[in-house]
Amino acid sequence: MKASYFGPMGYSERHLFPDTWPIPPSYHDPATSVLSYRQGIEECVLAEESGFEWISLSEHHYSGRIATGNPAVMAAAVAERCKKVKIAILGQLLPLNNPVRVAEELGMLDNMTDGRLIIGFLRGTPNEDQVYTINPSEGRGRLLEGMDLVLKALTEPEPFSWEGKYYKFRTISVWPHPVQQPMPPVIVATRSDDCIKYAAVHKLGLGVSFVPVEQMAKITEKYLAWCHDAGWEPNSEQIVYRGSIFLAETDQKAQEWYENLRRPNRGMNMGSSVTTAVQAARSGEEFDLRQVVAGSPTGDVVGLASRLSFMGGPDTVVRQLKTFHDQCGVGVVDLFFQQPGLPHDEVMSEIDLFGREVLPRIKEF
Amino acid sequence: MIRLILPTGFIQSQIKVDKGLINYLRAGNGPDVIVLDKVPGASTELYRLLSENYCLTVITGTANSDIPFDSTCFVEMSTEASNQFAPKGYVLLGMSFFAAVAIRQALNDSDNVEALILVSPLAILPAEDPQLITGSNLTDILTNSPASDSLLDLYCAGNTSQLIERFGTLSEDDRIQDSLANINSPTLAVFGVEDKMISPEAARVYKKIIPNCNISLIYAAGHLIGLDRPDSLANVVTDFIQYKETFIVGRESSEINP
Repeated sequence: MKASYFGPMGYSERHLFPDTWPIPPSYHDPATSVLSYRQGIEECVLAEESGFEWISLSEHHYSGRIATGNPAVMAAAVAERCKKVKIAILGQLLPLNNPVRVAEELGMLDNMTDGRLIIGFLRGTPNEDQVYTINPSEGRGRLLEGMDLVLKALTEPEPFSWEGKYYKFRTISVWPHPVQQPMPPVIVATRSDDCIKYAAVHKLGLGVSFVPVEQMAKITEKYLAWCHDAGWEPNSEQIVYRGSIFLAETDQKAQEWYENLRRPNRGMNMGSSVTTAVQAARSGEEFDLRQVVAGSPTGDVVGLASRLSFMGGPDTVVRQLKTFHDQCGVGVVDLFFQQPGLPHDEVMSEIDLFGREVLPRIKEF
Repeated sequence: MIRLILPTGFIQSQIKVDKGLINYLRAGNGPDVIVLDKVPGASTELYRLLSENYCLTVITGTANSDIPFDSTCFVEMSTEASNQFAPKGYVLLGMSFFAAVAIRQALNDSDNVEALILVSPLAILPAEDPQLITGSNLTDILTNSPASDSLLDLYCAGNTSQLIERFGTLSEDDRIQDSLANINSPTLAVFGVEDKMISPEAARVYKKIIPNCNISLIYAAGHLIGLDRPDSLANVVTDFIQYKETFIVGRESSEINP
């Protein structure tokens, strides 16, 4: 099993944020923000030195908890400091973006990193549909078409036009094409059947975030069955799990930290009328999305303390990671260390501890 | 002549040329667009849309069963009929197998062919072998739409076995590939992203060899683009007819609150 360090580049004073999304820009202090990005990159550098094999970045908006609205910009900066690790964008929110622009950014990054890029596609959480005013009911269609278009744009050697349902471009000729041929590894980050099937049919990897191991096992079971139907078998790096982690020297210390941190779950504070409207617009979804808000303090995606995937001392965390490996076939675990209220020096200590006490053991899986 | 269910306003008839009778459908007013399509039943919605802006003539074959559709004789007959329909010039559109006829006609009648549009062209073979086509998988290969029992009848006008035989005899034609360089009409080659009959590699061949050629990919469309995405196909065809190679210039306003 390989480990990936998820670099959210969180604003260091994020514990002062209100329990709302979006976070008002009035909370932004330039000096603190500059320092936060520097510290975030230092964490990535230490992760590489500690034996992590991937650094991941993801697109989320309007919240300093994950301060990478454009992950390609952040990836370019991290890649200049981290010269060996894979740079994984897990992922870009395709329904929100111009797919041709996404393809251009990915092409540049694979060249700038000399073929170290891993591509990830993601729909985004319901709150993020509002960032660029996307109709939530069209998100799924835009994602599916966007993936087709990005993959085509990165591989087609002649200029072409595209007549889609959601996208129309009369000249596409992306430059540069990726260094990795025919294509860098691609991960579809999803829990939805249609996108899991898309990944299987197109021989792409699967990424799943923050679900319990039982649910992860059901998802990967479906994915592997559909891969089999499509006539192939994914390798170990094509099943990726992103989870939150708190690692301490002992289980008891981890529990003490957790008890101090835990706070009442006040639910999602995007505004109840907006929440209801988004849920209605995304009708047909398999999941109750009302608690899924990237960048909120309480949603199930990031920034929470109530649903840690991995918590405890090294022995416990190794055991938890092995469960995901054994029961779900996870070959890469993408770990979110920047828990709420956790200062930079403690995140650094955790990364160091993980590299010494956990990584050597999970590499044996 | 098999009677098709046609959109309102279309006539189905025959026109006499030197070597026999040409079957055709016709509707609309405006600049002349000649379509070569052996099996027009799958694209009736496309033709209805195009007939709103153009005088559309769809040549569907000959009344002479002994004249192969890919023969020089048929190309001559088609060219003669097109000149009768549109003596001042026309846009020529070739569908699927008839793309090869359209290419030959564009070469023979270059003074009158104002633009050439090839839709799902099977004029040249991709590098890979075509799929083994049987009656049972034909629907899946031809269309990206959910299979329907009536699709084969719609496409083949009831003659499935003849269509399967034609797919089976498709062979590489080096003469056509070599001649692509001599096409001097602005050309658009349109492919369905999900086309299982022809590899995307074929698009690159057209683009590389034809001097003034654009490639257009239609998302969520199989080989029968006119069946899967008639609106998208009509949009790109209409823009190309109007603007030729400058169809790539964006002309739709993005102003929200004028």
